[in-house]
Amino acid sequence: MDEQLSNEQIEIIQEFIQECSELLDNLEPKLVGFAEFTQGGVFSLNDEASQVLQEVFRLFHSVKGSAGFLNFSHMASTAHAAENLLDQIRKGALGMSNEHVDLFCKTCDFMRETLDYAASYMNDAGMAEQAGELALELNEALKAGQEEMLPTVPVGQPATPPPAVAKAPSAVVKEPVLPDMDLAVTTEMLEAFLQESTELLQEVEQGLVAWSNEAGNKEIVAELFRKIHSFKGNCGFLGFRDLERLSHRMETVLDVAKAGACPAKVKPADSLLNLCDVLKITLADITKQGNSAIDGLELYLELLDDLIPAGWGSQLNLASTAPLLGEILLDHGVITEDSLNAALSVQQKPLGEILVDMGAVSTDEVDKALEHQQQKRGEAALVHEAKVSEPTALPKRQDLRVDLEKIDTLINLIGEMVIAENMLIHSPDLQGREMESFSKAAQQMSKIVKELQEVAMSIRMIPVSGLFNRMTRLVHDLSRKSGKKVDFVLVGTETEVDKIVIEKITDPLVHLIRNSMDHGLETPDERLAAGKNETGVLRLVASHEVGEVWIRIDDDGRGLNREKILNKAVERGVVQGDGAELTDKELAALIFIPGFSTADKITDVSGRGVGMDVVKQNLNQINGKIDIDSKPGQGTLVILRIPLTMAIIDGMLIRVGNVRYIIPILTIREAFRPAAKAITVSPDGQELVNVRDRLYPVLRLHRLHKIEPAGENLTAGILILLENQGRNVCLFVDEILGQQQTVIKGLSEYIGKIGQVRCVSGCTILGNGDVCLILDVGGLTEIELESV
Amino acid sequence: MKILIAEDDFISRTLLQEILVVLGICHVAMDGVEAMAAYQQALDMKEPYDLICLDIMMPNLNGQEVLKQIRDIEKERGIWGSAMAKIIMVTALDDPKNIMTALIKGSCEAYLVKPVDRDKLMTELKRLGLQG
Repeated sequence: MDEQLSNEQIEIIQEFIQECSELLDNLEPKLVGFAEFTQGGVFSLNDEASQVLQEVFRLFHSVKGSAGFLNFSHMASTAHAAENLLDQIRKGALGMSNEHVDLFCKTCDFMRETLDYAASYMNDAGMAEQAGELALELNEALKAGQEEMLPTVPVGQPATPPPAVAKAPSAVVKEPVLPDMDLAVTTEMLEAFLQESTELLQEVEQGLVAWSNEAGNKEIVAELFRKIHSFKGNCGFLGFRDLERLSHRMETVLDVAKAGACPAKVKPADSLLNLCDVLKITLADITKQGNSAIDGLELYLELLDDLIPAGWGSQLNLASTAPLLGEILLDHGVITEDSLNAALSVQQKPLGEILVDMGAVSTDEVDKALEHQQQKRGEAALVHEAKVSEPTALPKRQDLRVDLEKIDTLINLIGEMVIAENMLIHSPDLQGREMESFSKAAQQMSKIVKELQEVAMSIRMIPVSGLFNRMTRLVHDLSRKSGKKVDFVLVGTETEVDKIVIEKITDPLVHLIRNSMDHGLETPDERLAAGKNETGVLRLVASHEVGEVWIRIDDDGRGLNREKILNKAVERGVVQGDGAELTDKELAALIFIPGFSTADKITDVSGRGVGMDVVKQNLNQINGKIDIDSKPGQGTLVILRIPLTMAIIDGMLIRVGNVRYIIPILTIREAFRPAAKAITVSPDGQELVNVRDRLYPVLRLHRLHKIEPAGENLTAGILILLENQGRNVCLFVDEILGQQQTVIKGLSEYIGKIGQVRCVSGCTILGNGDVCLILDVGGLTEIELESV
Repeated sequence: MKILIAEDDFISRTLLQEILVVLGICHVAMDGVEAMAAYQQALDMKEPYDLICLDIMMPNLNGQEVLKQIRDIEKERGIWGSAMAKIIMVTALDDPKNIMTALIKGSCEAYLVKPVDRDKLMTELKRLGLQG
């Protein structure tokens, strides 16, 4: 057998588990149906019974075959033994008794357990002992039948043979001859583990935050318990002992909390949150250098031990089910309620000692009572064990993990197809011809291509809920750290955006939320003084607006400090004069300048002045924009506006000289041919155009890219008013050629690096095969700013 | 022992036949329909096949379908237990769906992925208790 399991093998095993579970679901009711026939003792074969027997046989047969194929030898041998027994019954060599039905039911249970086991370990090696015992029982039954022809076991007698027999030489047991499927950890498995575990921890974190807000909610605790439990399982499976130990202890704490036995004064959620971070860091270490050791593990374990009440012992909830020592003593009439209460009030050392000290009881009496307590705990432990052994159903997977590369390839191909379609429909060969059926077909094709493109884009879309939920944790931590009270509201978490967008806005979002928490929201005292509710409100809203996704971060804090920002700006020489004429929006734009910070002192939350710069850079990469609106004393609203798609945009095709360009349509405010009197020239030679009493700078594209234009005269060409982040510029071009779907292709790196081409964000291929540059409007508006 | 080999490819069919012929009478079928006819006839003559080797990708009626029909007939006629035909799938298909459909839905005795050699087949036959 192979040392390693390939993905295909794992897939086969998963398929097997699913199919086999269904099979067992069918088998069980049939087996129970048998009980009817055996009601009157030993049952003899009749037509009806024979049919049921057949069914059962077939099912066991299938299990045997498929388990054998997968080298699940324990499962196969058990199924084989069951099959043999059934075959004997069929041949009439054996009668069917209630005992047999029990045995078959037991076999079913065993198989379910094995499937559960196989689901996490991909083999059945761990079931050897149970398989051996079961096969032995089945073979015993077979032998008994052959010796006596008809077993005379009365109804109700336990089917289990005495334990001594179970230890009998294994000659009777059909010992598995095939080697077990050994499982080595492959890179793919490790990757899958890291991904799954990270997601799991993410969920645990959310759960913990929810728990700390809603301490009494048992459901959350149960959910947390399950998640940590599966995390622990994964770690153990891959041999990350430290992770396993720590998560195991966390699980115990949750178990304590689930039973409600947690000391009231401690809030385990916070400690667990910290440990969650430890787990996450360790996972990151594994990713980076394969190091799974946790520094200071013992310390963490001790920390958790504090949360586990003494007497929890081997993580069994015994204390709460066994009566307390005081109660027992009281019951036995050894002490009075008064002396018990007195003892309890000074309870620091064990209650027994105190009572002895008080002279209320003798040492012997206490010992007796303690013994009694131990006994009760023992009973409770048994009950508990019985509960633990119940098999747990595993949730079935429903989604399909696809390599992102495949999807990217698909989207690229669709992009190519859009180009090819343009080439075909606008082919020069067809120019000037009347072809009715061709245009019809072409139209139909355009429609389908467009739909295909939309569907392909939607595959990449994921809801922002994951990202938003991560922020919940951040806000929780920040509010703890700063002592500010905040109500964090999430809206529109189901809004879907491109995966790349999620990646790119994670950092900006963290910065913005930190800013809101650190600079925006006031402390409870300040808020009360300002006549506001003590608890601040921070809203994170995602929504779809025309062709864009909007992420709004909205707080009701003190707003941007106009004075502070202006002072700083003047100090740094960013703004000439006193800046009093700046609008709120222009003022807000200042905070995006690199290194610009108004914080008096640098805290570990924010103030280094890098934040907003990073925000802007990240957003530029995805052609996003930021709007800031702030009202002093009322709060700040930041809107991240991100285009829905980044692969295909609506573009306006323009011409300058004999060069053509694409301008993203969303950035165009208007296009017009200026009247001569609307144009003025400023003293430093900058041309300005007056549009409805506002002056906009004119940028001549032919000068920027050194092209021979059709005409130099502004009134002969066309001006296109562009807008980006509140800044405007009028671009002077020769002609507007039309609008078209534009597939964005990246520029090769050397073109971008040498910097010969300014203000170009990419290129596209036109219908006739020509390459055409896409203008970067952000860059264009900034050139204008530089020259001012 | 009576053996039926259903396989449309000449080379595979001949190979299987040469390996199995030492064990008993070997009948061959070129596709699923022929295989079903042969199975039916043998059953009617009360001389059913002990071993059936089925390819999955066959013209007219595929191996999975043949397997299902054989098991249905057995069910109908109350043939079960050790009297059931031993069926081995011999195929190039190794995807989970096909494997599990054959093993669990079709209760075939074994599933061999091509290429098949003498050792592989004999090991499997031994496991099924068919080798003399």
